[in-house]
Amino acid sequence: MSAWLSGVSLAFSPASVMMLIVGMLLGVAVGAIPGLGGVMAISLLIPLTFSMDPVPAFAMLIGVYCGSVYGGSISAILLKIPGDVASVATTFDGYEMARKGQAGKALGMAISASAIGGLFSTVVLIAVSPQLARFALKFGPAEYFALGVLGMTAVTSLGVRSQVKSIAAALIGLILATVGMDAISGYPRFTFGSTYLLDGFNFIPIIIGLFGMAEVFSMVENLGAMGDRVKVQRVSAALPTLREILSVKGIIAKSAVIGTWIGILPGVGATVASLVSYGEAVRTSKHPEKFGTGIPEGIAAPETANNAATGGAMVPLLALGIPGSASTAVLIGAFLIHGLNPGPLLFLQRPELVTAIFTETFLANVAIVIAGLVGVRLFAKVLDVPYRVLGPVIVVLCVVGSFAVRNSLSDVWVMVLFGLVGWVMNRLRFPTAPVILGIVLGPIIEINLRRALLISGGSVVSLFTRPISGLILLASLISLVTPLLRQVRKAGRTGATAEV
Amino acid sequence: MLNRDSVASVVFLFLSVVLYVLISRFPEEHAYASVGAAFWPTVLATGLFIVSVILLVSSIRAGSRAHGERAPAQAPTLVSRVRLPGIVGVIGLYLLLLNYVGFVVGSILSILAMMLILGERRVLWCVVGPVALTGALVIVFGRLMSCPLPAGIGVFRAISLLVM
Repeated sequence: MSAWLSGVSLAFSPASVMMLIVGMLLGVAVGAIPGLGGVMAISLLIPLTFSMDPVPAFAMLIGVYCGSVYGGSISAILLKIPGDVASVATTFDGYEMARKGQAGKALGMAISASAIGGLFSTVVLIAVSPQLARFALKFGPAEYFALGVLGMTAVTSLGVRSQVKSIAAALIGLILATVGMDAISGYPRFTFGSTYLLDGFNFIPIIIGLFGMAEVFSMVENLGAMGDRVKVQRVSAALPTLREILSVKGIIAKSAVIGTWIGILPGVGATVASLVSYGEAVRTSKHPEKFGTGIPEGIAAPETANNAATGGAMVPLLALGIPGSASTAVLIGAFLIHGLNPGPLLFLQRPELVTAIFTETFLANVAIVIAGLVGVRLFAKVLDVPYRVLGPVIVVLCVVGSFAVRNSLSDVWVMVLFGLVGWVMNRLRFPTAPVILGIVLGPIIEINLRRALLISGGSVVSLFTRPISGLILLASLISLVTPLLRQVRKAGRTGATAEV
Repeated sequence: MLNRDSVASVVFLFLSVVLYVLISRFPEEHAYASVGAAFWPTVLATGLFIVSVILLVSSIRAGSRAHGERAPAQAPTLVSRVRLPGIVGVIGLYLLLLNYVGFVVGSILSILAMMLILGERRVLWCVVGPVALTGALVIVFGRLMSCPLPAGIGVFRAISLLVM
């Protein structure tokens, strides 16, 4: 008991609270700038924390970690450039809301959903971290493959106009994910002798290209038709009312559970959590056709899930010393430079520190609301800038964001190439989001499928007979087939010439 | 006449055939039985082939039904026709010259060029905008995040090092 009290009081010390706020504001800013993710910020800040006490040091790093995941939604909503990969699903409805002049409402929903998701996962982290971490260890390749497939079923909900086009786009993404050295056999696939392609495509330049740059090209093309001006509206960030939050309570609750659970699974992370939650929100919605047109539900689902995944990823880190995401993998470095080893022994040797970390994670998610409102006021001003100035700004931001990933100009060329591809896809009415889904989930699906088949001696049946993977695959099948059947039935009833 | 979806599906069909050809050159790996490096790309190429055929058939059917019902597309203006290639050209030139003129000079010039192409004519904005934005990016990425932005060569390198 005294360790708990001691931990809580350490977390509330002025130095810790100040470091938490600094980290949070920094995290929101870093998350909002494409190319500067939480991983980069945490890794650069770890050396700075060396001279600090562990509690304020972790307060700053946890602030950056939680803030960066939320910050990604700001540029996703305002510019259609996900500041962090985990915010890619937020662009689907967030940007459409901003285009309708509801940017403030969209940002407010993102703040609320992020805070609720984060707080939920922190409660789970505190309450059941050791038990949940132990259960997650039962996941083998078959279960990870099934989880990837479940994520891919969101494809049918991302192609509101045409499911076939959506599936084609997803296949292109999956094919792009196969480029590079095969992770199992080491054979270089589709590299054409290029050393750059040996590592495969980095998905961040592709995301920036398909979303940010393609949008610039489309806007530039339409500027003439719009009389050289883009109508912008003043944005005032406002938290949604209780009634507005209650209207999406089901989606928030479901996404919080999905996000926390996926966050706990090592190596999956916030991006998959947000995509799976978005797909699940569409699948269970009474009006799935409205998703992608700019509705608050489309923001609530991914933002709740990606922030819930931050707390979830801390569970295996603290309980077992296994990182649940790239950011928590970097956080292990912070433990090591302070002479600490995350894992079961940490609970026995430094219980006050564990409690302080729990408390700081909780406080960080409360601080998201404050930092979010401050950040929104600053970043929302970009919509007041005329597009003839904002356009070039976004172009250079896309260039630097792509370059900063690996300090490679080749990544920038890839970004521009995919910007053009995205522009062509927009003109042909092919959704670009499934491409990203394919690129992100492709390696998870392929590697785990092949591992599972190698383990089972090539038997596909084993994927379905394992209880957890079988259940997830069944859910995937239902998710995939239901919207298709609904569309075919609708087309049959109306005899419409709608695209299938 | 082929519509846009038909063209896209033909491109995808062609792509799936190219994939098959490339996959057929992968070596056989007995160590990995049937799940070698070619396994997953083959599954995907087959999927793409099937989806392309479905898309082609549905686009031809939709095209024949909608024949003669389409409103004439709005003709793009000359200005809008020039703007997009202009912006793409500036971006291409910017990337080609980045290693020579460096990030600072390259960014200032390219932002200015793009602003002019998009119709910005206010002198103050044209002068302050590119310089301020480039400065902010240098501070955030170059100084705070220690990202090694291209410095260029010769006199451009000297300018870059002065700023970065």
